[in-house]
Amino acid sequence: MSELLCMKGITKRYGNGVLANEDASFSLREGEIHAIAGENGAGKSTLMKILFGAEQPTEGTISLRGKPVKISSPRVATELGIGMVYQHFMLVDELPVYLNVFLGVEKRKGLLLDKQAMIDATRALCEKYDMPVDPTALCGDLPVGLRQKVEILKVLAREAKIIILDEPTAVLTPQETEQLFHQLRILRDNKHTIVIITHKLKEMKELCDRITIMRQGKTVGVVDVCDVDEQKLSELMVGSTVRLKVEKAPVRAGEVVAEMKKVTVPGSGKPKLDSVSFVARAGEILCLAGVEGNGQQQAIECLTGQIAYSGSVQVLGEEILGKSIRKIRDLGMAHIPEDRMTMGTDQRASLHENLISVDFDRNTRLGFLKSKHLKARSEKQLKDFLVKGERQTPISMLSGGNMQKVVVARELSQQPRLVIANQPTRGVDVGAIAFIHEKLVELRDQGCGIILVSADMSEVFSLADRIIVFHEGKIAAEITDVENTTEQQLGRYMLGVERMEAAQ
Amino acid sequence: MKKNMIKSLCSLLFRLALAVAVAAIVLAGACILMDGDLQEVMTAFFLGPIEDEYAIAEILREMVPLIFTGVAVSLMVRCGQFNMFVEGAFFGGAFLAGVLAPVLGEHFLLTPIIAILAAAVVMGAVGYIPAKMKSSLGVNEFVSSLMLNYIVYWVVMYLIHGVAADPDYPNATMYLEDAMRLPLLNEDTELSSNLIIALLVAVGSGLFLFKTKWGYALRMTGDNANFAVYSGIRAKRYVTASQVIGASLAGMGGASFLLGNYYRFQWASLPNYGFDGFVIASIAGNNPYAVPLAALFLGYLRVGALQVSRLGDIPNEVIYVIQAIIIILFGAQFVLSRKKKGGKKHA
Amino acid sequence: MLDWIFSESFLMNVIAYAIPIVFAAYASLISNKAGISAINIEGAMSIAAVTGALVSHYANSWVIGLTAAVIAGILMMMLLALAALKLRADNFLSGIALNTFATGACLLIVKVVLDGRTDSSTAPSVKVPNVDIPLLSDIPVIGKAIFGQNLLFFIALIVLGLLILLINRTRLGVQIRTAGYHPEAGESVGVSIRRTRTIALIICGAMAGLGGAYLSMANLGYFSAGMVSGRGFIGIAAEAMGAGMPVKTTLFALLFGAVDYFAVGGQTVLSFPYELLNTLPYLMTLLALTIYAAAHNKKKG
Repeated sequence: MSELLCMKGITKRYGNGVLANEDASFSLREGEIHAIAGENGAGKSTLMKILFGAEQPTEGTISLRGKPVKISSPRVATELGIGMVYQHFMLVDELPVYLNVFLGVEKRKGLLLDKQAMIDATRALCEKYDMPVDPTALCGDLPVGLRQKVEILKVLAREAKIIILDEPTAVLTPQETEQLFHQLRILRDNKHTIVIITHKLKEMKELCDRITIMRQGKTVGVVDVCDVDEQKLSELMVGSTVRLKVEKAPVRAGEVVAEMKKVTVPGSGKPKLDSVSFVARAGEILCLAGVEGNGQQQAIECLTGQIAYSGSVQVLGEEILGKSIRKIRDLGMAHIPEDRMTMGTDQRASLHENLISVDFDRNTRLGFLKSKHLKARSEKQLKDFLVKGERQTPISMLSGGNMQKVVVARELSQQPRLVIANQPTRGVDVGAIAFIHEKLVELRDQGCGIILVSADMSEVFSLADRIIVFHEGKIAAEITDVENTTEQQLGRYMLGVERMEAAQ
Repeated sequence: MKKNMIKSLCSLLFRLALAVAVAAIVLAGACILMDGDLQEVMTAFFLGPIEDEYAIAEILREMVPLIFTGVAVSLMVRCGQFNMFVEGAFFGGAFLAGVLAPVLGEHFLLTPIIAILAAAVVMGAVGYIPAKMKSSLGVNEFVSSLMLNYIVYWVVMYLIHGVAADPDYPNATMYLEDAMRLPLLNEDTELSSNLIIALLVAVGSGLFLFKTKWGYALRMTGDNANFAVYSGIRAKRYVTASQVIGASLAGMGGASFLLGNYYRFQWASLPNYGFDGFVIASIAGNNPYAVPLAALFLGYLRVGALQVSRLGDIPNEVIYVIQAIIIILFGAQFVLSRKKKGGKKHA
Repeated sequence: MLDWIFSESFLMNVIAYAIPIVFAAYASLISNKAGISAINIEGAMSIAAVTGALVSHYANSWVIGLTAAVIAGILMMMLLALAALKLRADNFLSGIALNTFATGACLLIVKVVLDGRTDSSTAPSVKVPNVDIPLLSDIPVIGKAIFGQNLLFFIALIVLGLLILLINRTRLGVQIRTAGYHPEAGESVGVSIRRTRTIALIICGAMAGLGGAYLSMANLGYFSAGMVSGRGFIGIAAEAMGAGMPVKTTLFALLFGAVDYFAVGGQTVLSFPYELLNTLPYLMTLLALTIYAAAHNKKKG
């Protein structure tokens, strides 16, 4: 097979000095499915954005079919036959499928849109690539799996030859993933070249021909899939065989700190939580595992007082229905939210102001904040949690890891009796991960109950004392013997292949 | 801390210089268009406001409504609310004071203070309407508060043409005796003590916003309501409160302005001070402490424009043109500085 | 009072009062569809009103006057585009600034042109003519009101049709909706959001221009300061209630027009203080906004 595309010496330095790619290279052969693998923040997405013209490289060259090209915008990329399916779909919910597919390249008859031609063309594409999408449906009404198909159709309608997919399976159910792979293979057989950004080993093995592995912005290797096993791949991705091992004492579970009894949260059609019951105890780390969108999120939202539900939720001995978030927090609950940018911090406020948001009103005299006391306290917290950064500048200036440490510092300094940690280490550097894990274990050893939601398998296995697996709004399994459970076993529960009878 | 203050002061000064340049350019343009004498106009504009103590007192007088409405707008914008009722509340507050003070009678200081407080309370209560509509129902406060302005205006017109009017003086409230008004600081220039109230309000609001728990909660709500709610702050309450406080301060401002500088309430149209509040707030970066400075600056420009209009060639309204450009410049600056800070997200 | 409401002139006047609100609502509709709020519709109408009045007078032609008004409206919206899209100033703040600008600029223009006056009654506009469609205008009660209206009423009807066509059936319409609903999606396929919004603002400005021209060149024969008096804002409210749907928006604008006329026309017919009658359109808008929001919240659950 001939070389179709070649990126050489790509370096991307952002205005603020952050180096996303450093001398990275990448090449594609015609008609292959090629994975770009690496951990979060390895520079995969940036490299692909450069290929698609959404970002400009600071240095480096790109050549297509042997000729050097300058991809100055997505429009240029599209003209060159390169298309991208973003992880966050770029669909207009309020428009029908066919208009989304032809967005920007609408077919016209005179001045007006040629609706029928676009519907027919969309239908033809659907049939060719075996995608069951109704061209006239509103995009907003489609389930995630089909929305992704629309994205792919969009790229195909522009006659892209190279299709980049950014973590396409992150939001899919196992069946949908199967289906997607099937369609990607049809595409390959039709002379399309496919790049998928992923960090799932299994998918690479199953689907891809070659893998480019990235680490810390650099390309560390290109391998043929048949030449390597998963162990080897993961070593390449992580660098050294870091099997996160957190030192922790044997579990001494105490009294119940949180309990859900037959909790149901309605959704459109199927309930998001379907009569779920479980307890969390002091002194243990309970992990709520599951593929994203199977109800863990709603369970957390119930426990933290963010959404309404039917059934009973007790936090630290009290029923929380109708209680304000402040009241629930006052019971001794701390909450590390999933998204530190939109929920966990006020990006415009200083570090100090971000640290006092949950108990500022308990440190006042006649309504005035005791700022000296609070400032000293913040200073101590920042020191204890090893936060690096200017104190008075807005928190938005901090790196992801330091920002998350501020959130963790605030929440864990409240002497909580129950900590709800939702993806506490997502998008955070290795050092910060280890630190946050240590802190969580420390609290657990002091007798605090911890409920952890994580999409990161290694985090689940290194922290959890007990695992509850969610599948389609129900509990599929409860694993008490974490030590002797394999990732494969957990995966089967998460994907709904198996379920424990006694779980519900 | 100090470094930051110096930095923000520098950027403020830079923007003020930019604004002065804009004013000069617009005036020069107006000069060319309307056959004015450029040198004469520039002298009147830049030196006119400080030519004598009367001109200076005029600047200080101009500052008073600007400080009140600027502070009111700052507090609301800090909470993310774009409420226009400052305009109506200022008008309504002035009217109320004009009606109340004669009823209360001649009690030195006591009468004006009670009248001002009453105006603050009543206008706060009226301001509760759009505030509550926003926080409970999500009705856009911008449109609803504008509508409320017109309603307040016409109700005042109704009253002033009828029950509230002085029988001997059509379309005006009763005469305000000296003891019903705020005392003068200087008999000669008729500089009123309402400037002191305005400055106190600015400082008090700054303390409130930056030092108290309510101010903190209000700012967090305005910056990121999700974060505030997640932290246990009752964001809706602050959305309402910020607008009520804003309306209340504006009402207070109207009352103080009337009882300081007028002998009757006889305004026939909305005075536009509410919109000026947005100019001030955007110059001051929504910081109450910086509001008096911004008001001094705008007051200076206005008296300058007034001096220019006295020359006869260029009408006073040219100031509106200058103001609009200033807001846009300051608005642009504001967004740019924030955008730069957001840049790190990519990392 | 009932006699008055069911008279031929009542409906005639309701439509006459609704026309500027209708145009303002269309202006708001197209800009909101593109995801930019043009709260300076009020100011643009005012500038258009003064421009139309003066130009028609001096050119002695309503066609030239109307064209000038439309261009003035577009220019005002281009200033918004410059501030909010190009300089990236706050959308909202720019709108407020431009309203302030318009307040001053209108007075400035009249004062300069007419030597210190605040209205142009000494230089009356050449009015946009009324159209009398034969036969149809003879239909009792509704005939005169609908088929004997000002030309701008028919222009509004044509605009309504064009708007519906534009939004639903053209490429520009799709791009405008994309810019409003999901700008990133548009950018990702090379639809320039700034360009699309600018085009939407041009249309918005033209609408505001027509609305303003109606006030000073059809309704009243001259410009007077403050003559827009919140109609631009009421138009924005009508659009909000119409939820971005052209026909529904038109109906709400008509409703507000009816209340507006009721307040003005009622002054001679009803024994009720005119000041309080004048609060009606605003009260009504406030009430309608509340009811709409309450109903909307209920539907959402």
